[in-house]
Amino acid sequence: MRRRRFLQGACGLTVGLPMLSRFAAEEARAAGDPNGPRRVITMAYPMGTHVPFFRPTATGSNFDFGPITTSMEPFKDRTLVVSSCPNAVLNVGGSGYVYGHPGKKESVFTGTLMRHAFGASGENHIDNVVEQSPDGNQRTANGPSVDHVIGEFLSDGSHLRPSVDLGVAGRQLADNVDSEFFYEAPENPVTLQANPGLAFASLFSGVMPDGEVDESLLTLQRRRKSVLDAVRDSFVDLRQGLSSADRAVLDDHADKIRDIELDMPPPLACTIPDAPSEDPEAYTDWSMGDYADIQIRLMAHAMACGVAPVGRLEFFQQQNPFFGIPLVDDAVATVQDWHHPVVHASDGWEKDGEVRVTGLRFFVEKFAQLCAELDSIVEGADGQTVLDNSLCVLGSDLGEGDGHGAFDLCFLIAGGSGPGRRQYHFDGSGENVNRVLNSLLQMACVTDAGGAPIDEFGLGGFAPGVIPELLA
Amino acid sequence: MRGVRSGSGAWALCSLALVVAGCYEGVALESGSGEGASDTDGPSGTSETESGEGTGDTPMPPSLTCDTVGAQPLRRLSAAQYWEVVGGLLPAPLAAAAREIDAFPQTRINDNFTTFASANTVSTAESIQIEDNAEAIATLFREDLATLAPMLIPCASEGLSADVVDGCMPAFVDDFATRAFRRPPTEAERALVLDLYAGVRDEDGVEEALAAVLQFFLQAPALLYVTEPGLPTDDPVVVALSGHEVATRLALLFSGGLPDDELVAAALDGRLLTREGVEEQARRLSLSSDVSNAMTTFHHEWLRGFSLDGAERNHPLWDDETSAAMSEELRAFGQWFIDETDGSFRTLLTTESFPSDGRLNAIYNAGEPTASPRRGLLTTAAAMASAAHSDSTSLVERGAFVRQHVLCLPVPAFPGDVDIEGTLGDYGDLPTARQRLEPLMIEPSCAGCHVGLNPFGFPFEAYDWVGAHRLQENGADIDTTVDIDIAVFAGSFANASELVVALAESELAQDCYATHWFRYAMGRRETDADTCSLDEIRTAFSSSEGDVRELMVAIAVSDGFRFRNTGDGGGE
Repeated sequence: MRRRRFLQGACGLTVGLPMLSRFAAEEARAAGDPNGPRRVITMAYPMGTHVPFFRPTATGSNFDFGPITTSMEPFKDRTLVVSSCPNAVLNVGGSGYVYGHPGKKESVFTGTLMRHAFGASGENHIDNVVEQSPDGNQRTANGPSVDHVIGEFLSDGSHLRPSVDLGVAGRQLADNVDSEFFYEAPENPVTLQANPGLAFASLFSGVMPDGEVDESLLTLQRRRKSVLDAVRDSFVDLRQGLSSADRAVLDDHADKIRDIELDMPPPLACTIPDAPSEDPEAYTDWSMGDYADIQIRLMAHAMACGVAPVGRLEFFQQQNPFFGIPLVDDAVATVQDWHHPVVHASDGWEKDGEVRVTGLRFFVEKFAQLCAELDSIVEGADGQTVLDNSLCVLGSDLGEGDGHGAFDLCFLIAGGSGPGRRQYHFDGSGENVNRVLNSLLQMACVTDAGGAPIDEFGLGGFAPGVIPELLA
Repeated sequence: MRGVRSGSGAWALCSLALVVAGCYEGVALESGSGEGASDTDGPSGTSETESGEGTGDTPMPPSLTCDTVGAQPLRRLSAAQYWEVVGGLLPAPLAAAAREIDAFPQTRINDNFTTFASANTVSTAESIQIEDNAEAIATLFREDLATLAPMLIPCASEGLSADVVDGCMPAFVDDFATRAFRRPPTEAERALVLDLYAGVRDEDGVEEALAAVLQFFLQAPALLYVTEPGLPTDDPVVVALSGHEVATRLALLFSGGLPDDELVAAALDGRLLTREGVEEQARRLSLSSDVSNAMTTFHHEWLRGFSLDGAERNHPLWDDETSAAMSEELRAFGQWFIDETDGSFRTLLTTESFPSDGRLNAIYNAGEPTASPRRGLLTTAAAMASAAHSDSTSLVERGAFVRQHVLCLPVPAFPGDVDIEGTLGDYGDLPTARQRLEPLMIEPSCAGCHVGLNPFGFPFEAYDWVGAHRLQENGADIDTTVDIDIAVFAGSFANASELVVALAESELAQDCYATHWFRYAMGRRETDADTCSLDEIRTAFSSSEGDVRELMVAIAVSDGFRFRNTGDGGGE
């Protein structure tokens, strides 16, 4: 059964609204806006940057990139830089930003504090997480990340899956890794696939090379749809007699079963990249750069194929990465493969030193590489590229890495579509991250169930409204 | 044999008959006996005969001994439990091939154990993995249907034509669903599967339809989730578990898989609605070979063996096999403990014998001989390596483990990113970890945590970061002596051996061990409402001289295990 409603998109045009969720029927989701991006891709890296080298030379539209961001030069006309923006939600109810890492990754894209942050003590601060978490490790966000909300809005039933979630290992191959930046719901982190071979198998199993027709795949898809219909129906019966909390658990799972209420989309036809090995042995001695290269390629092609409306790419194993850059790796090895002092600029490492800056530049270079991959793929008859129709975001949990501060976060926002401002540098020192997130929602033309643009995200009542300067 | 195989046992005898002839409540029961005459497992749609209505049998569920029990959230099978269940459902060759695929999402441990409800919240990616896993297994089945179908569906040996298979599908669905769901299917569930079969058969043929049916079962929520609607009691928010629900809990606790034939029979004839009946089954299971599953899983997770997965230690005795060998060591210890010893808590902590794993011999044989022997689970190489850094010990982490997991004492959470070097100052250059960290016990900003943590870590400094024995660190002698003087645990100990002996004799440690088993069994932390049940469990454990089998039995017969606090009364 297919149901549609029609609502006004935030960027002006009437759009169809497929009802994806049987159990969350009140949760209206629009199928994007023709004036907005088709997809959102968010890349996150840990440990921050060196802000003076990240910041462009001037604010406004006439600027040169800083030493860390020069690799974005080819995409300058489609890039918005936000620098030095406080993640002020971390200070809600407290007397200062908590020292170190707690809460920072979890809040940067969710605009929330963490579980237990609103503790029995009545205090309203991130410190409560540390004090009251049962084992000190249950640090998950209290809400979905902004990419998830945008992805749901952009989902129109044509995708094979809800999202493309890839991890980039710092050194050691891993399979399924809980994201620390990205969340689907409170306390429900996204699961990242960091094994390129397994990622490929998962992403492209329903995709055909251009022009081919695989009857066995079509049969398999018909079987899948019939089975998932039955699975969804059996959830309904199972709910009887259970408590409201238990029913909510079942409903949440049922909601996640893919594309059941829509017709199963036919296998997508597009260019499929070469398949990486699924054998862990094939990744012996791989560097973070090696992993990033292949995951970025998979991400770009998967998004170009329309596998999902939202892509997430997260660097992890932050404390001990093997960059694949001899200058950095050789230096890090002298401190027992421990990247932390380098980020901190402690143990004799200079803040402006070549080693440190090269390591921090790496993440921006990989973002630029993603942009280049997306820009190399033409989609549509008008010659526009995948990048032109995408909203791409790069962010980290910290601003200046050496102090582990969260009062000067920097973002890169790239892509060609939507009302987001481009070729622009905004100094965010008088703003806060929540309003950047609000602005991202409007760049993607996201509306609420009534068709009104959403201008508040994250911790309720904390920082409503967008930053007008970020919107064209 | 774990679980129940196709076509055998009580399920097979009853499952077909129950739908057409009321076998479900047709077992020998006295009307009004209160023992399961209307064991109304399962959600809505249970047929009139199944529910007992019109038969004269009036359900009379058991009553609470305690005032109440803790709220019990819905649980989903852990990955290990899923594979045990699937192993009990599928023909052996298919089960083995499915295990090779291993595409079911791994269970995330958020808090203590893989059995915890909080470990099983489904993310979108995990939902897809569950689907893909089922699809992959069904595809394996489809690819070798001629061999595998007759092993799963007996009539398929006569051919795979619609004429043959159509006739036996209802019986197969009843049998298979009853085993997979750990209760008979409802009419709606039964119709759902038969409709699925018919729909796919009409479009793509019988062979594809059989694969679809199997694919459905392998991801059906009734298989994945342990739903417990229960039977009403006088308390509006507490239900008594039905016979099938108790059977499922017992099976998951002891074997981690499907209820065996005897459990099924006890569920059907109402014995599991009485404390005595549950005790009889629990005691039987505690003496069966299946209990080794619980012993291996519990001790592996209690000792945080999962932290060794993929671990790397910068140490000459560490190689590519070591982390896997250590993880296996914890499992082997649990099995050896229950198979080869008296199964007591004291033995668990103080035994001087260990199961042997040749891959770890170099670690166990390293270092100078010492008069104080390595004792028990807490001094295994795995236990020591799991609470360590990649190139050094972590006496704080070891101390925290003893406090939190052995004594159930509070442990302050690590305060984020501490500037360790700045805090240590000149002490940071001292040769031993004790010398470096002991000053933190008097440093005002650090003492709040380190006074409580350090003493429980000092004795274990005799074992390095891979668990090898050592007398010195950086050329300086290691001091393993400690005086512990807290209200609930005090004494002077020369080394880890003396400390673990004292822990083994400690009522606090014994109670804490019982508490962890309760958490493992229930899949949640205890609450104030569990005080009564836990007191009974701890008392029974203590009275048995710390017999772990008796501890499991005590948990099984407790109100907390046999009843369920739904939180809001259930129903819609």
